[in-house]
Order: sequence, then structure tokens, then C-alpha cells
Amino acid sequence: MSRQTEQMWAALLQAGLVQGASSATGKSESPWYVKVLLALSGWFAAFFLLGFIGMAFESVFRNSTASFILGGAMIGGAFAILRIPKNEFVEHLALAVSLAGQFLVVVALFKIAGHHGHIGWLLVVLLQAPLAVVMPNFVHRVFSAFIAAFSLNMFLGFQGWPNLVDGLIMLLAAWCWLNEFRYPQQMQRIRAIGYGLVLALIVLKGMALLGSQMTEWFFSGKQAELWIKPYIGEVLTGLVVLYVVWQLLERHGQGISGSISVPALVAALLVSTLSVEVTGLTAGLVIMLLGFSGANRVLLGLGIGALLIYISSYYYLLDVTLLVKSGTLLAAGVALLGMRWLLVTMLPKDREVDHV
Amino acid sequence: MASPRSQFIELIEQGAIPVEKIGDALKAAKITPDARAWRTFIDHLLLWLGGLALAFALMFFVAYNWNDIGRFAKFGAVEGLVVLAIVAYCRFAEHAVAGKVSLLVATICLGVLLALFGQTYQTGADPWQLFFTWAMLMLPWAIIGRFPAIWILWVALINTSIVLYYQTFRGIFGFMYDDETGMLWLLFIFNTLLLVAWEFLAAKAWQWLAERWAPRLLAIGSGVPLTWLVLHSIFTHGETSFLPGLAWVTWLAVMYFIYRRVTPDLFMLAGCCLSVITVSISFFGEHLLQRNSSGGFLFLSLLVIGMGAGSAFWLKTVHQELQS
Repeated sequence: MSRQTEQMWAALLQAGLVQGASSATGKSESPWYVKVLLALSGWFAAFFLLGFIGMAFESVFRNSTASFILGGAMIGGAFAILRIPKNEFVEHLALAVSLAGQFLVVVALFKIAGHHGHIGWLLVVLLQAPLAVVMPNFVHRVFSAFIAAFSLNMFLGFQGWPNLVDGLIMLLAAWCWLNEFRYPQQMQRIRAIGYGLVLALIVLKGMALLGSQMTEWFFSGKQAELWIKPYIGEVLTGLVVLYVVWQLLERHGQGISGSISVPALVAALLVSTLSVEVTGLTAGLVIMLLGFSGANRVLLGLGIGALLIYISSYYYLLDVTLLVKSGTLLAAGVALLGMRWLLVTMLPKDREVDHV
Repeated sequence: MASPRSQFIELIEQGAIPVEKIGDALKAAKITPDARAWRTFIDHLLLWLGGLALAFALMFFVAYNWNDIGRFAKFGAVEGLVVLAIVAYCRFAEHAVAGKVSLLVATICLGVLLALFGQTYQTGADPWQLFFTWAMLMLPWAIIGRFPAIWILWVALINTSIVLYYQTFRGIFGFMYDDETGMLWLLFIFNTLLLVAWEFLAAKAWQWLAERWAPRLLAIGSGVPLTWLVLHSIFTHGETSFLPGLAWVTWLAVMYFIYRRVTPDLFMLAGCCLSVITVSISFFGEHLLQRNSSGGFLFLSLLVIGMGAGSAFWLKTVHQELQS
């Protein structure tokens, strides 16, 4: 058992939370780059599998029923394989088979939807959401959660409600990460879905940023008129930020009337307002807050990366001139540094802070 | 090295901590940050965000008015920035992070100055000369600075100038290979030599070289050109040179020996696995898929799965071995 685990166990013993000797072996999951390597192999294998099916059974691709049935069978088979105690080879095989099967099913779904393309996206959501919950594989869950969130956005976009679902995704992701340890049996599941949703959020915000004019053009020509203005998405995410900050404050024993609660919520509100201009700011910040509160460095890193990309992309936003953007950023910078000054004067570092 | 968080998760998964006490355990094990940690975090966050906002505000303002600013004003501004940054570096001699940031800012402003010079005076210089000059001029600062980020910037600049050079001319090796392979060989040799030097110096001499992300980046700079060379020789039908393949096998052997036996590093081993998988798939793909056989696809699929699973199994074994 490593020294760090020993120290942790000692701390827990001292707090009277555990008893006896630790049975921990000090081993842990593999690092993220190994997981990425595995995910990539799964994808490529699925690609070649599809090539094989396409060449050997050409009729399958042309017939949507056959495609649906075969795809469904492959997903079911993968599920069955993943349930038995695994070795690495079998796990990868199942992942590849499932991905290929999903592709077949999705092709069939879109064929069934026919001219109503948006229904196809809804069907994809209905496929992927259960898979995200049910499939006993971490990478698979992340992927399914990602696709489900993405497809939901596409579906609502075609209905004339783009950018609306960002708030919902952020809310779900925030719930996952805030309650990660609450249900120990479901920890792996909640964490995987959390990662998938966060990745979807980052991508969707990026799309909203790069294609704000594109979004209007893309969706407005389709079914319904645009009911929602782009900034509605930011307002919703702003509400989620307030929720997250409130939850974090509660955890540290600070109710609504606590001494730092009001400044914290006001600060969150200010940032949300700024985010209407600088799209994606709240998303990046929320991810960082969630990452920090769970000592999750991957999440924290994702948040920082996303934030940097969004702030840099602000340059390319064509809605307003550089001069106006410069002014906005100046005001924002002054406000943020002002908040920091307030923090430093209200809560000096050396003061005893056990309650706040 | 397992993070506290992953160790904690393992304890929960083994049921060592009673469910109702998990919240308190999170605090006791310092997974959930306490009030002090939050305060520091928010402090730094506001500082960084506020500082970045102001910096970007200034940049946007300058960009907006760029065409109206006079020539001397532009030069004066950039040169002033360089001087300011160096002064800041001297001032912050005790604060490690602020000093490093100042030196890095000075280096970047130096590049901006060179670009401005080239743009204003239309010297007719090639792009690679900009990056090369920049790298040469910043070398003294890198030597004085002694931190990985600035050296990696230098390496990136040299790599960029090599790539741009080959886009402009045929290189010295132009009569032996075509452009791309010459460039790739040069990149591979340069980055590998640097990697060797870095690891050697980190082990024997200087502690400040010990951060792992820098040699890992160098290893990527070494592995990617070499893998590309091997792929190139696979896909180009006229090539009969075995040199890329031979170099590749030697590289793999050396990487394995050093990063498995001498100074274990899982990232390097994972990178080698990725290289092997890529080369194998390309090799078999090139030879099997020409005849449009469905069996070829199936074989490739199984090959990827097998190699992926094999890599994962091996890497996990090494990982567990390193932790015990």
C-alpha cells in the first residue's frame, strides 16, 4: 500500500470514520492516455467491422429493417459479453461490436424517419440515453451520453429551439458531479455520464460560438421559426451556475444568509451576465468549479482548456466591433479584479477560517 | 502515481467506508476542498481571469486601431513591452511563477517584434527565417531562465522553422529523398537528440528538468515524424529503402529499454504502442485491402482489437507494477 493511501487511511481512522486495517491495495485505474488509446482502438475496429459487413453483406445497408435488426443484435450481444467478468480482449471486442451495431441502427433510424430528419435525431436520443445508463463499460457510457446530449440539441434545434438544451445538459452534468459519491453503487455510472455530458457541453458551446450566425441559418430554414434568441441559452446556463454555487455553499454550511453567500451569488450573476457577450464563459467556469470541488484534475483541466478556447474565440465573433469587445473586456477585468480585492479585504488569508 | 481521489474511490468501491459517512470522509481525506482551499482557488481564479480580461482588452483595442497607429508608435510599444517584461523578471526574482511568466511574456513579445519588423520593412525574408531568428535570439534567455516551458517554446520554434524551411526549399538531402522525408528525418533526429540530452541532464545534473510533460512532448516530436516516415515507406510503392523501418525498430527497442527498465514512464510506452498499432494497421491495410476483400476488413478489425487489448493489458500490468 502506498504511503499516500496509508496517510489517507490514518486520517480517516483519526476522524473515527473507519475501523481496522485498510484492505486497499493502493492500485488505481489506468491514466487517461491509456483510456484514450483504448477508445481509439475501439473506434478503428468498429470502422473495419462495418467495412467487413458492408462488403460481405451489401444488402444489409440497403434494407433498413435488416440493418436495424442486425444492429440491435450486435448491441445486445455486446451487452451480454460485457456483463461477464471481463478480460481486455473481450472488452474491446464488445465495444467494437456495439459501436458498429449502433451505426447500423442509427442508419436504419434515419431511413425510417425519412423526410422528417429531426425525428431521426430524437430516435437517436431514445437509443443512446438508455445505453448510457445500461451498458457496463466506462468508455461506452461516456460515448453514449455524449451522443445523446448532442442529438437532443440537434432535435430541439430543428424544432426551432436551438441552444436551449445547453442549460439542461449543464444541470444534469452538475448533478452528476455534485452527487458523485452519494450513491456508491452507481459511482462508475454517474461519473461516466458526467464526463459524457461535460464533453457534449463543451462541444455544443463551441458550436454555438463559432456558428452563431450559422445556427440561425441552419435551423431557421427547417421546420419551425426560431422561437428562441441565442442569449436565452446563456440565461439558462446562468441559472444553473447559481444553482451550482448555492449547492457548494450549502455543503460548507453556508445557507442563503451566510456571510459569503450573497457576494458569491452576486459574483456568479455578474459572470453569467458577462457570458451573454462572451459565449461559453459560464460553461467553462462551472466545469472548473465542479472539478475543483471533487479534486478532479481531469475535469479541472477540461474546464480551463474550454475557458481559454472560448475567450480566444471571442475575437472572431462578428456581432460587435473590436472596440466594443475591448470595452466589455475592460469592464469585466475591472469587475473581476474588484471582486478579488473585496475577497482579499473581507477574508484575509491569515484569519482563522474553519467555518468560512 | 495514484491521485488521492482515485485512492479514495478505490476505498469506497471496496466498501471500506460506511455509506453514511462518505461525506465526512471526503472532508477528512481532503478530497473536498476546505474553506481555505476554496478561498485560494477563487483568489487565483479571479486574478487570472481579471488579468487575462485586461490583457485581451488591450490587445483588442490595439488590433482595432492598428492601421491608425504610426510606425514608430508600434515599434515603441512592442519594444517597451519587452523591456517591461524583463524588468518584471528581475523584480520577481524570488517569486518563481511570476518570474517565469514574465520571461515567457518577454520571449513572446520578442517574436511579435520580429514579425512587426518583417511586416513593416518588407525585408523579403522567408517565414522560416523569422522563427529561426526568434529561436536564436531567445536562446540566452532560455539558458538563464532554466525552466521547461521556455525550452519547449525554443524547441517548438526550431521545429516550426524546419518545417517552413522545407516548404520553401529543397533541403540538403534533396538529392537523396524528396522534400517531405528529408524534413521528417531532420525533425526526428533533432527531437530525439534533445530528448536524450534532456533525460540525461535531468537524471544527472539539473533538478529543474524533472517535470515529465516536457520530455513527453519531445518524445511525441520524436515518435510522430518517425512513424510518419515508416507509413510513407509503406504507402509509396517506389521506395525500397529499409532505413525508416530499421530506424523505427531500433527506436522502439531503445524506448522500451529505457522507459520500461531504466526510468519507467507509462506515457512513453503508450505512445510506442500507438505507433506499433498504426504501423501494423497501415502495413496490413495496404497489402490486404487492394483486392477489395471483405475478409481483409474483418482481419484488420480483429487485428486492431487484438493489439488494442494487448496494449491495454500490458500497460495496466506495468502500471500496477509501478505502483507497488
